[in-house]
Amino acid sequence: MDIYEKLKILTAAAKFDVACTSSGVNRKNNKGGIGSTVSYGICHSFSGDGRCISLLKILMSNDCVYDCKYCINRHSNDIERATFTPREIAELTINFYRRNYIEGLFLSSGVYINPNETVERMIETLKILREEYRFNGYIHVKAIPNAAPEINRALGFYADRMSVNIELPTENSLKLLAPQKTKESILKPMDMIKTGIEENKNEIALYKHAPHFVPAGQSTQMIIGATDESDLQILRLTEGLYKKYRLKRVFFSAYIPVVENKLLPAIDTKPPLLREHRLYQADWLLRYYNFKADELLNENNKYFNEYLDPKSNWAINNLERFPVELKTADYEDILRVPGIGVTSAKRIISARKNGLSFEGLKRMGIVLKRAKYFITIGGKSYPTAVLNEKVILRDLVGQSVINNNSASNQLDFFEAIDRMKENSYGKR
Amino acid sequence: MARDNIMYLYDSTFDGLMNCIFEAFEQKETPVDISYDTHTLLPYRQILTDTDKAHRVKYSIKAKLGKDIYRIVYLAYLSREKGCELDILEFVRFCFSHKGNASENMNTPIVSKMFCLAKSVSREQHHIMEFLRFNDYNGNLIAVINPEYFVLPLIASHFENRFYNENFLIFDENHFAALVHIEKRTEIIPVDEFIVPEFTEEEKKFQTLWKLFYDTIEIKQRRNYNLRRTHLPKRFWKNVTELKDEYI
Ligand code: SF4
Repeated sequence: MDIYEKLKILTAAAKFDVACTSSGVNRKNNKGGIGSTVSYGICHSFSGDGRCISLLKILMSNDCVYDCKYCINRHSNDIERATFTPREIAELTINFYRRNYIEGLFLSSGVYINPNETVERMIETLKILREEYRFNGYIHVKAIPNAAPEINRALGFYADRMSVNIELPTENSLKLLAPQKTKESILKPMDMIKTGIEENKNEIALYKHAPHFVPAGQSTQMIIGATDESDLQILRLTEGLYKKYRLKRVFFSAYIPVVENKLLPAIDTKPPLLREHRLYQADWLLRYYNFKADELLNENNKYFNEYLDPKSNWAINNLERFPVELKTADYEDILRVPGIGVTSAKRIISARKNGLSFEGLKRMGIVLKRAKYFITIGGKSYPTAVLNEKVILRDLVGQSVINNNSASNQLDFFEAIDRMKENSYGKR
Repeated sequence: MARDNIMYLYDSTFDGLMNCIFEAFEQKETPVDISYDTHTLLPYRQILTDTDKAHRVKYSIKAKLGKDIYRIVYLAYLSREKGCELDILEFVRFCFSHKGNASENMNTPIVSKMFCLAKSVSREQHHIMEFLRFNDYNGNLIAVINPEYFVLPLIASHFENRFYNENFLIFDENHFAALVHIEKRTEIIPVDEFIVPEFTEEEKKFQTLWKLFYDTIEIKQRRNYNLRRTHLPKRFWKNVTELKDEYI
């Protein structure tokens, strides 16, 4: 099989992994080598679906011995199989990198022969890149479930970011759909990476030249909508992962049916993009706004409102905490006002000494569309805004239905935000 | 401030512009224009570029107004927009008379204008860092770019560091200049015309492979061309390997 054929098969097999970011680490080139990394990450292109292309995202092999039912590469599926040699991958990476097509490599793989053998070959690939080509660009690598911990660990010394995909949010779903994987087999490597990063910090503190282990941290991905977990379950798990394993990111991937199976949604099911969007918004609230999963959803309310962003939804369910008086409120409370982000909250605090007014807020670039219901300045509320659940819902939901009556509009907005989050150039 | 009926003629360099600012402050005057275009009917004064004076102006902007303001001045200069020189003079004057507190005066037109212009230039810099494509000619790398602003000085260190051991040339077809890095030395030179050589077989191979990757990585169920155009504006496509065939 020629390299074109292989690239086609092994790209198609990798495209459903949503993570493509090259962020989290700043590294200059060392003068004998090629490449550097920048902490905000760089998108080099955008595919027809509008997603950022930052890394050469491929599988090493789709010739998988496992049989996860949701996966196109599962053993029992009758598809064409291909496997790259380590040198083929290294040469593609370097040649793409030199042309400024990419920031680096995102290497994953099906279980080829067995988990250990798979990881050994991945290590060999990264070794060629790092040692022979002296490649200093970005490498994101997947740990392989069920490989020996020390082998997975060795992989981490060549990578900037490492991830293990949870894929299915509960053990039950795993049992049902990924019979060779267990909760254990996924959480163990996660734990190994977390411990590895912590130990490595100490080593680097002791010896300046100690090799770096996964300096850009670890991430994971969950499939949304293949199984029947609620948003609440997913969000709780997400929160737990950030806390317990110190993940840098949890990615969500709206399930796109690729196989016919009675346990899975029908093949013509549309990917739940709006749901994915709401989960990303909620994830953002967990990471930067100090929200807890249980504040955003609860047993009576297990799903996000399709028509309302999670923050507004929360505010409407907690009207007794509003209005927030901008002249005196704490930063934390201002941050909880719908429509007010980190930058706006800081600007409000620093502008206090010169006096605040609604006009002034607008001049500072703060959008009051949603915020106006929830704030007062010197005891006065915004003219025409009423703090009343029905009124707010009518105004906000009405608008969002009118503005976003097609799913593609919603997606534009989400992708734009998500890109800004992950790859923003500071204040741009 | 009164506009004195004279124009400053400078050599188009940043140091030259700094000398114009020096002159304007020293003479306590505001010229009708600052330009390097000699085809003018206005009475003009030739401002000589004195590196020492330029340094004094730069130093005093950095020391008294801060690095951020200095950066804005530099970026605005790189926009090469018509009239930007006079705006820069007005902006620097405003900042000096307000003790550098520009960010608290965002509602002053000249301040917001300069902030916006600087932001656009810096956005263009990042776009070029993203979308620039090298082609390989027997081991040497060549790229052609068409940025709206003169960003070569801004991208130089990024590419110099990243591809330190390579020889490369980046030709800016809108500003007729090239960033050249040969045998580990980098400089920017004026270039009137640049003829891109034919692609080698090896180069064609990697372009085909890249296009193949690009087409395959798209999730067709999520196709969204509008979103792509937002992130990767069409004006760049003609120099972007994977999209140049779709550029009309
Ligand atoms: S291990 Fe499961 S999810 Fe991974 S490639 Fe194999 S079948 Fe697919």
